[in-house]
Amino acid sequence: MNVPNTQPTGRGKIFGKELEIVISTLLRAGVLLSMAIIAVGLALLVRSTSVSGTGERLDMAGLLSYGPGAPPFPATIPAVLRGAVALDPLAVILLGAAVLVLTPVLRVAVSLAAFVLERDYIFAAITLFVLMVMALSLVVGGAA
Amino acid sequence: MSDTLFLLATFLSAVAAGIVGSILGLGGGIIIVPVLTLFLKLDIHYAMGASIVSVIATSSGAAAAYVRERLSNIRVGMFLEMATTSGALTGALVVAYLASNVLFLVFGLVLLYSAAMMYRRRHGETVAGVDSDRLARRLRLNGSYHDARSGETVSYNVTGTAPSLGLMYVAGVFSGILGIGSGVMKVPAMDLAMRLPIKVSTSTSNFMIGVTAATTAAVFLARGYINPVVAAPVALGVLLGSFVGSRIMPRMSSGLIRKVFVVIVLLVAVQMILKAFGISLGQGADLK
Repeated sequence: MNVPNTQPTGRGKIFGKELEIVISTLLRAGVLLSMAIIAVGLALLVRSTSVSGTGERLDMAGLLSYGPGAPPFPATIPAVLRGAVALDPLAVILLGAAVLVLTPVLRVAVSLAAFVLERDYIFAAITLFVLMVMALSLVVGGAA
Repeated sequence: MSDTLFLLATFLSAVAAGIVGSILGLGGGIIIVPVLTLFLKLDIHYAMGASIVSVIATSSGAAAAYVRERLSNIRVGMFLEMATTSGALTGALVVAYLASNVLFLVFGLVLLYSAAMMYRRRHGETVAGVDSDRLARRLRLNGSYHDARSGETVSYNVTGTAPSLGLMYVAGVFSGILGIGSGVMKVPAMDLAMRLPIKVSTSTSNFMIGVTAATTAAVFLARGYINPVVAAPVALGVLLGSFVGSRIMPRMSSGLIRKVFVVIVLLVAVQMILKAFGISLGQGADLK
């Protein structure tokens, strides 16, 4: 059936709003939230490089050199969360990065829900495949 | 160089990269990695990590606008993302086995390719006469969009679905290996192979880049390539820069400026390739 499809996403509504608006809002919110967290982390970082009081001065030159072995900042999501709660500037920044990484994942999940609601099972399967690859990257890489 | 000065230098470099990237339509990654490695002498892994974070931010921000305007074809995007994410996962995992020299070489070659693409960029708006291929029809990939300039609604069909998957896989692999968005490969694939209107290609590519980059970034995060000290100023800077760039871009469409930038990108490409062979041209700031 070669019917011109004027709304490429299908005609679904999700949460009562058009799919495109949901996705668009989600993307924007995710970016803004993650940037806010990163900005806070950066402020903490700047503070820690100059504060000579209770905090130790950050060894930035050491942090910037790359070498084999475990990196000097958290590398798994649980570690990032723990560090962020403790207001470790490195962990807070990485938390922002993690939120940013999760934004497209959430966006794909929303698309999946929309396709299922529209009963477009072929595209639901396609979207599920993409979601699985993304989940796999989190697990195989070791972050989750 | 003091710590705060380093953060400031990184931030400003990122803003510049964001502006240039958005003017050229090249995306932040391809610009920021050379700037960080050649100019600020950072390790390429950290440069890639910072780059991929900024790529997610800028592409998601832009995609939000395009999706709203119904310019992106979400079905085509999702379909192709099967290939790009698979490629990105493969590429990101392979990085651990590649020496930095190899990364520099591959990067330089991709930059050469980007310069060539930038130079060739002449596009017409109409896509009359393309029939959807069988897979495209089965998946109902065709669509239409409202062209703000002409005021008409343009319908289009989609073809070349199978080869595009292959091209997208390759684009994904490069994203995973270099920490870039690979928009430079996605747009021509959609433009030439699938015969999508250029506006749909660029906005759909933008929509897809975030997903590809997130897959790459997830692996990078765990591998420790995302150094917070670098990623924070870079992400904020590139986002700001691309925002500024998108504002001044409409006034800058002169062909001369593009040609100048093509030359600059070529020079940077050559430097990256030289660096792969251990030859450093000695400019830039040393922070240690």
